[in-house]
Amino acid sequence: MIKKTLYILTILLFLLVFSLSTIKISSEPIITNTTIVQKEEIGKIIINKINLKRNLYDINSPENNVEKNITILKESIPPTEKESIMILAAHSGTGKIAYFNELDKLELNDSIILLYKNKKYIYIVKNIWEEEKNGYISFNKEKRKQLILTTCSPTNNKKQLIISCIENI
Amino acid sequence: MNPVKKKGGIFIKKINIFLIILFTFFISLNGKAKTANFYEAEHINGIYMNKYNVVEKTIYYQTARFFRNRETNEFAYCLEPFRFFTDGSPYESTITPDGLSPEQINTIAKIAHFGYGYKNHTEPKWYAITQLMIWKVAEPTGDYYFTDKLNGNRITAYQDEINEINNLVQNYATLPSFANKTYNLVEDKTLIIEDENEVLSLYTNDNLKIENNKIKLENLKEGTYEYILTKKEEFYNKPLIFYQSNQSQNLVQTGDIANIETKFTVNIQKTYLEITKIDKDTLSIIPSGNASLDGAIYELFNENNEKLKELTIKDNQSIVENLDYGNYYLKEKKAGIGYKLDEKKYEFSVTKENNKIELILENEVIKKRIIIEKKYGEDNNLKNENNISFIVINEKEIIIDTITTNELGIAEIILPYGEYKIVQQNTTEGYQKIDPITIDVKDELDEKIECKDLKIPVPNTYTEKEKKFWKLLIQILLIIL
Repeated sequence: MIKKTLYILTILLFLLVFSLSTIKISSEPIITNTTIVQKEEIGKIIINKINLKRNLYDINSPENNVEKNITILKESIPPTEKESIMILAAHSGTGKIAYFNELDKLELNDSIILLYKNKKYIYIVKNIWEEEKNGYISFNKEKRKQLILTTCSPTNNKKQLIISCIENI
Repeated sequence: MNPVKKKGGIFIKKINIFLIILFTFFISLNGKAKTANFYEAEHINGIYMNKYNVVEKTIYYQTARFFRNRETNEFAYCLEPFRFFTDGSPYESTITPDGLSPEQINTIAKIAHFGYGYKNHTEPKWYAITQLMIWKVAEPTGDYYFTDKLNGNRITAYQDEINEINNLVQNYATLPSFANKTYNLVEDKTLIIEDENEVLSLYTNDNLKIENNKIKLENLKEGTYEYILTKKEEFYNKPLIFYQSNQSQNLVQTGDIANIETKFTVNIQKTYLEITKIDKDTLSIIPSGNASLDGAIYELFNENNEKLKELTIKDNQSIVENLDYGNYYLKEKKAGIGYKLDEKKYEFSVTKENNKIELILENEVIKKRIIIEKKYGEDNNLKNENNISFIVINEKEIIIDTITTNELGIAEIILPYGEYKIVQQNTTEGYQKIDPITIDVKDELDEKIECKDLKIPVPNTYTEKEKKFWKLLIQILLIIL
């Protein structure tokens, strides 16, 4: 009995250690209006519908890594440009970095806020689809400011979920 | 005297001859000739007349004196100045007294009618004047004149009275200036005819209103109308009768002369101006795209550039009825929705021979060239996408065309006014179709639509690490338990 209890305690201890190793200390910046004060943070994505509020980091920053944060893919054109396209990818599934875990709950015309270099951009969901998961996503490049969100399909691990949004003018 | 009037005069003579013949016929139908007896009645004091027979070189002088019908006491005029009157001679009425041509008979009848006894010609002097005038017509070789005393010197007297009678005779023969003319008029228009000869007031027609020397015709419908104008001289209410005797000079007893009739004709015609609107590109009355040929407005001008009215196209047409004869032009003021204004001026003439004007007028629809440039690939390596088809759907959700990209990735279409959706039908494998493109054709500027399908690499966003952990944990627990 003691032996079993010891085993269980060992397992619980192991679990505790593992959990601590995966829990990230939130480094959410304090936002006053549209001002972002933390270093390297270039902006923020806010999706109220799924209670998502995460920092974005400069495309060249080590923090701009899908294993750490929502990542801005290098093909992106920042929203400060006329025909911009921001392509954001993040994990879904389980775990602390599965920031896009509830992305499938978004529907057409839902709004998404992007804070970027002290400016606020509001997008609306225009199109939602899934593609075969092959390491690539394809989408139309619009003339308007565009935001692409992508993650793994929560229902089919062979699919990639893509949400295309356009600026709500 | 202008040729027209001269022609009219000949015509009047012909009418008079015809009327005399008719009168003769009438008399012959109405039984036997009248008989009468005449006498030399009262002298007209102070009026002296000479008759000079040029052939015999004989002057006959006299104090003016009435002839009267012994039975009725009605006065009569002598028709044979150089033949003596024999009291008690029997006379018979005649239409064709000996020695007088129809023209002479006609003139004498009018002089007798308008002479003594006509309206205010009541003084005896009018009898002497009338007699003198009749002699001049009946025997024109003679010389007839007034003298200052019996067998006295020639005097020029009573010229005003002679002129007055001559005017009455002349006017009686004068027809309205529009006699026998034909007028062509458009239905519902008004025709006012004025008599340049100013004798219209002497004529009547129960269906016409004659005022101030004018006739006004209104609201006449299509057809031919012949109006007869009649001049009636019913002053004496008895016929004028010539009397002839074998034993004495012939006489004429005054009375009413024959009526004069003349006519004019009015041809009433309908006119039409019919405009049909068509599409310039399709030459059809069906508008292109979502444009409308209806609603176009034309302005109608006359040759003096005066705007007469505006015509609106409805059901592809506009009709103007009974436009008056003349020269006109049309100019478009407003085109139908989606069509370009037609700047041309359309001239036409409405005439008797060309009373139905049919104009087919075109409008060119607003068109836009749509150029789709289709590319695909990775962001920094885009390629032209060939053989990609798009369907073009109009506002009624009808597919009106299909276009396909060429080797340059370009597909083009010219669309008329309206709203359209362009929907991609196929795509290169692994690439998305573009969302339907909405096109609103309202101007003619080319519109280039760049369609880029991008493919970019994405990191693995599947969190397998945690799954492995939970699998391992479940296995351990199973072993322990």
